[in-house]
Amino acid sequence: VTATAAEPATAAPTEVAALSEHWAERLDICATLTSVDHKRIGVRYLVTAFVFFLVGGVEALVMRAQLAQPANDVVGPELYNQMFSMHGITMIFLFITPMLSGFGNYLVPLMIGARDMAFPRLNALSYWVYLASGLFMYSSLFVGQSPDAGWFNYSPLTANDYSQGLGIDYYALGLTLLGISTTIGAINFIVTIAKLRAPGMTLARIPLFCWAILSMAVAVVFALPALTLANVLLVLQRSFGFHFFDPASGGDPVLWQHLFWLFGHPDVYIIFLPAVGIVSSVIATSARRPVVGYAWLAGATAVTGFIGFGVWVHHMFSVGLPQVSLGFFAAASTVIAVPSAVQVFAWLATLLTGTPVFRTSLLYVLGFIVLFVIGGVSGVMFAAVPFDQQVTDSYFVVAHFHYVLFGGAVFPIFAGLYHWFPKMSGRLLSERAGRWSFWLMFVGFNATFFPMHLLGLLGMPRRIRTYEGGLGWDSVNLLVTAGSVVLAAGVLVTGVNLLVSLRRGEPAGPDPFGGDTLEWTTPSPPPPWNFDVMPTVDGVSPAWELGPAPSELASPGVLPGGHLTPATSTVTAAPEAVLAMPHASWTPLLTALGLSAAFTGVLLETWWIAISGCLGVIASLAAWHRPGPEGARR
Amino acid sequence: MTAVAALSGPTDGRQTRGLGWWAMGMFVLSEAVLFSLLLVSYFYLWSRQAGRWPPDGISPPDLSWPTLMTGVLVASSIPVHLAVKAEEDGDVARARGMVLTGAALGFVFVGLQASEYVRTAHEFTPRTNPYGSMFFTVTGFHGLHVCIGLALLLWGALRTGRTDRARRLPVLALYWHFVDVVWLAVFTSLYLLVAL
Repeated sequence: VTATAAEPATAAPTEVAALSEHWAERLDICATLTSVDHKRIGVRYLVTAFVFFLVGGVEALVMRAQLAQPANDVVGPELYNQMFSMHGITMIFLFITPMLSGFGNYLVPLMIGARDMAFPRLNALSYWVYLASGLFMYSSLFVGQSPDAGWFNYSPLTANDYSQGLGIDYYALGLTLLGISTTIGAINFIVTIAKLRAPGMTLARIPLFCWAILSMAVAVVFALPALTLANVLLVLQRSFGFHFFDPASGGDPVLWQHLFWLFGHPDVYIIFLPAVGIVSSVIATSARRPVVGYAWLAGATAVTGFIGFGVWVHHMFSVGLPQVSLGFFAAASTVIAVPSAVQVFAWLATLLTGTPVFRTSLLYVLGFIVLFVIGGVSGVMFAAVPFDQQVTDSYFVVAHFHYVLFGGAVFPIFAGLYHWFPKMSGRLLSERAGRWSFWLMFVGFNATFFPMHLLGLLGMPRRIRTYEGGLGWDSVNLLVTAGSVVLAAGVLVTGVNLLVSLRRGEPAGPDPFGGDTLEWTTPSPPPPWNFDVMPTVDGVSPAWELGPAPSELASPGVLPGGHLTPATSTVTAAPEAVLAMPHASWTPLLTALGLSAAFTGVLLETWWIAISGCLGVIASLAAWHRPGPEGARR
Repeated sequence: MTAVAALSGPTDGRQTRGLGWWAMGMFVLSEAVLFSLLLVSYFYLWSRQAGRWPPDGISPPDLSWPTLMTGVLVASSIPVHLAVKAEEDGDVARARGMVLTGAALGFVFVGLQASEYVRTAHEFTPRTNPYGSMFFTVTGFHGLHVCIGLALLLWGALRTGRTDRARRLPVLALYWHFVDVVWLAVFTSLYLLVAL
């Protein structure tokens, strides 16, 4: 860490006025619907995803109320099936992934020293399509035909003969639509991190959070097509009479399982990797030192993303596959624990060798480490085929993946909220409420999910609506339900904390926690153009090393002459070009509306709606690429 | 001191591999995975079939027309490649002509495929069995990509020579070459391996 007396470069008032003229957006409804500012889009992602989190949480509470006692009758079997299916779909697809995308959208350009994402309009489109797919899937609730075959939607239950309503169609079409959003978003992240980094931010100086987002995005590019394909084939089978998964006509239901888990297991890492990035950021800032083993952590991130593609069959150990493939996938599933352990040790070493400040964000990170280790250990247990076959489809599995997903992703998400809310809003959250929220959530979480291990070992299958008394499950189930109420209370405390602090929180200032990355060098909240003077970077902790840039790294300067951001080379981050970024536009929203109409048309098998939707998409894309102001990208 | 710092306006158009090329590269990668999995699914269903493939007495595909289609589509990549070179040399008229030549070959391919469909549909349809479903899904999905590629090429021809923005032709060419390569995999899996 070097401290220098040299004044950082500042922009002249006339230049700031010019920036404001080019970048500032109004706050009215039209400006909101047309905005392409990555910070507004990021906040939008975060808020929308959090709402879906609350909805998914309510669904979980309904299930817990139903299971609190044997032979209970809070909800009927049809609704119960829809509840657990929508709970999984919501938490995985509509909450965790978009929530982490929200952090990525907001933070990546700030952390790499850019003024926006590489494709701001695609970014807006990505959000609108996500919102549309969420509303699309939830519209099923109002017609009483939500997906009800679980979040992995196994064939042949999903064939027309066994699932007649619209539920499965909502699932297949909704997730295909969402896949468009996720793919666009991932490509945007990759190009942004590859091309828009500040001069001097070489590959070895990319913030770990951005490495994590990059690994996630690459995993999306390779994993998501499997889910999209599975769903497209399912739509073709259900709506058009094709044969893929129906054994009676020569199809094979196991094909669905392979395709689903070929996506589904990498998806665990798509969820987990950005959470890891949050953890690294919070730990470096809290421990007040750079993370120990930067290269090991960046490498572990990439290796996890890679091995994640070789373990999908451990979800199918009880299907009856050849012994050889079970052996291979058991080995791969054991190996993947190694990079995760490397990460945990690097974080612990950072905390031990630093001088940590125990704010709420660090509490959530410590909670994450404890829960993730427990979830990781039960994960390695599944790699042992005989054990896996014993507990498949029992509550042991439910316990395990909640430790990995809730412990491994939701706790880091909460750490991220406490860490970056001040940057986004300009106000601090209440630490007191934060500590309450953390302890309620930590105790509630363990009271909810730890006993589920026991329920699984006692033979309680997952996805059952009710059970008879006297099987030894009664008191444990009551404890689980009580735990879920405590957990919900903890979440609620943070929700209230967010709302109240938005109005009444203490002013945060630009850098309340002494962070190490570039977002902390901007005001809170940052201006629409992010940086007055475009930064250069000469270390892994640029906010701690602000000094005169070496002579070969001249700053691109203020760039006051338009909607501009610099582009650099992929490996060495040498300045390459200055890009004119697109302005606000209606076309992303219109494209998303067209897509929604097309998918609704297919859902209802009303072809004029589907065709109108497609024409709408084509028209919107044509308007999107209409020649604009001289030099502006689209 | 680099040249960039002195610039006040955009310099996007100078990049040979701009953001658009990167984005298309990632998109093509994702699409490549999709097509690979589609073909893997095809082989999977084939492997689950007890009897011969194609099943239910469907005759193996005739190779003559598909071979012609392969030749036409592979040939179409050459003028598209030359168009990129011509645009680099600043020869806009030649670039436009080459793009249109590539597109014309693309249209011939679509026409040949349509007639192939008409002939095939007499024997089996997507609803007949998994073979029919896979045959029409794979070729239909590829055909859809050819049509999108054609729209992109025509649009590119229209806009070639406008120097206002980043270069588009390398981006469009990347997509077109990809659609070509996918066909080679489709041709091998659905025709060669079944007929030989």
